[in-house]
Amino acid sequence: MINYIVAVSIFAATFYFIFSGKLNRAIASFVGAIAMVAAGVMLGFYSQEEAFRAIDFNMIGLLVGMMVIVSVCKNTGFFSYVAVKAAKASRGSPLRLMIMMGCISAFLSMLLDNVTTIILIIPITILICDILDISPLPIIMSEIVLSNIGGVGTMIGDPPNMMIASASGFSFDDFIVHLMPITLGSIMLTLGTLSIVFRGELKKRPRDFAPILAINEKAAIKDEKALRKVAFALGIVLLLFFFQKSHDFHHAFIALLGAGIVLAMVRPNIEEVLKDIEWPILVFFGSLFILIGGLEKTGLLNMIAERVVTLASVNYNLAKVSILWVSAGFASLVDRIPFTTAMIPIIKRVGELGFNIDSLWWILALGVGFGGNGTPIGSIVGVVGLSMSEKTHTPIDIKIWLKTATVVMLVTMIFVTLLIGLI
Amino acid sequence: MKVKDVMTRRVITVGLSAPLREIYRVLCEKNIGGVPVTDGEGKLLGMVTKTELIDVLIPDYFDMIGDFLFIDDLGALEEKLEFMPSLELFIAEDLMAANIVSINENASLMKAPVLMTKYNVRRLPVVKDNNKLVGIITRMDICKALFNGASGLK
Repeated sequence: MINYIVAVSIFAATFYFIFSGKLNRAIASFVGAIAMVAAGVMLGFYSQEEAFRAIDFNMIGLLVGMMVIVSVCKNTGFFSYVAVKAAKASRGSPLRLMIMMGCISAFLSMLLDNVTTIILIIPITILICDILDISPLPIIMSEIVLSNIGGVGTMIGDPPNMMIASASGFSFDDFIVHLMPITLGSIMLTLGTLSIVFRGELKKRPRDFAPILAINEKAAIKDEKALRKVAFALGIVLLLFFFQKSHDFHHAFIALLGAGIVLAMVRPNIEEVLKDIEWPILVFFGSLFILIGGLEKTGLLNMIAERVVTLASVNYNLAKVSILWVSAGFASLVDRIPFTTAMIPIIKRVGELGFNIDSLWWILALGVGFGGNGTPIGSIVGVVGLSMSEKTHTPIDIKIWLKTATVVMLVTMIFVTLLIGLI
Repeated sequence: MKVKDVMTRRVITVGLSAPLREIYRVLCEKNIGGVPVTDGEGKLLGMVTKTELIDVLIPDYFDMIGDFLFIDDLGALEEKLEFMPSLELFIAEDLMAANIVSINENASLMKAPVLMTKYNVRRLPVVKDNNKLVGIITRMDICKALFNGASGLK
């Protein structure tokens, strides 16, 4: 009993500091993890070896590998090239521009880190809108929400998906088969919703489209050779992911192999690349795994899992819908990463109790992914996008967010709820 | 040699609410590159230089764009440049660089060029212990002291 009280207190205190923002989340989780191991060793419920084994290095390796590839890719000018291409193809229609930039953001987020995508695509979007003298607001907003939604579509799109992949053993194509159709449907629903809520802003046509047509987008690409090499490495990574069922290489190995190819071929300044790796996020993940591992040892997560099983045996669809909306609630109001980390052992335990948990993994991914659009603090993409929009004439405030992104979140969540029997 | 032996004592200042156009006029008429901003009691609050004046032209988000030099025609953005309506709206408080480096009047003269190089500025406001502005020291003041020696001092 004492183990239980101590572990839960450490856990609760850590999460209080993470969620209230009173302490940087990497620092809070790191201190929490240290406290959990200290308590575990002294009280005998959690050994140092167990704590080390609790860290999911498969997930962390996958994240690091993708970060290295993105780091090399972002300096090539590729994002500006794509943005100008889309602007030209929009032929001056703000609606078409919103749809195209939103789709680009969604598809890039399926393969690359969402935050990097947003940081690179939003500034050039604002510039294009200023050149055309149209409001950047609808376009930035569609980039933000579709980056979150696109990330749900693939195994490597978003950290929660990477964690789920590593914990469940699902392959890259399992994610494509189960999540991609729903993601594509949600992208279309989102674009429909945004074109209705932004119909006023989207009416204004640019006076002069000639400056956009005059841009030579090829000139945006600073290093074409490097870009080709990154594309080559990313191609190999995707190929290995697609055929993961026919070889034994783990997610982390494949991503790190891609990183190795990029580093060997492009030969960038390694110090710059290593600086681009988001160490605070890695510390945060590692610490959370240790923290949740300790909690798991006390048996609390087992108890929750048993409750889920009780509910699921009465009404399976109701259990699924509950997990979906609870996940979305956590993702939009607090932080989806710790929530996902805590849910993973619970779902695993439900599986051990004899339930088919395949669909619960997909529901968790959809809930935390789409739920992130609920509030501006629900995802890092939202936080970053919001602060970037403050540098325009039309900053995104909470009112605009509630009228647009929150509506998108509800629409996509209802869409998933209606399909719950099929997932 | 101390900073106060070399500095220019009769320093031109503006208040927080000085409009942009007035600051521009001061810089032109006195042929100086920057002017300190002070409050009613003469305490140093910040500085407006030509850099801050030019910054008004640049949209805030430009520092986030990695590279836009491949775009030749900036379209509507360029048209706005020509009649900048916002030019009249700005006052010293909006554009001044706050938290600027200053130097104490009793500091050794050696410190001035070191600070200028370190913070990449061309002039340093000189203050007393209570942050009250008492002068300004420019690179030219330091050169004069160097080349004319003590005899060149005012």
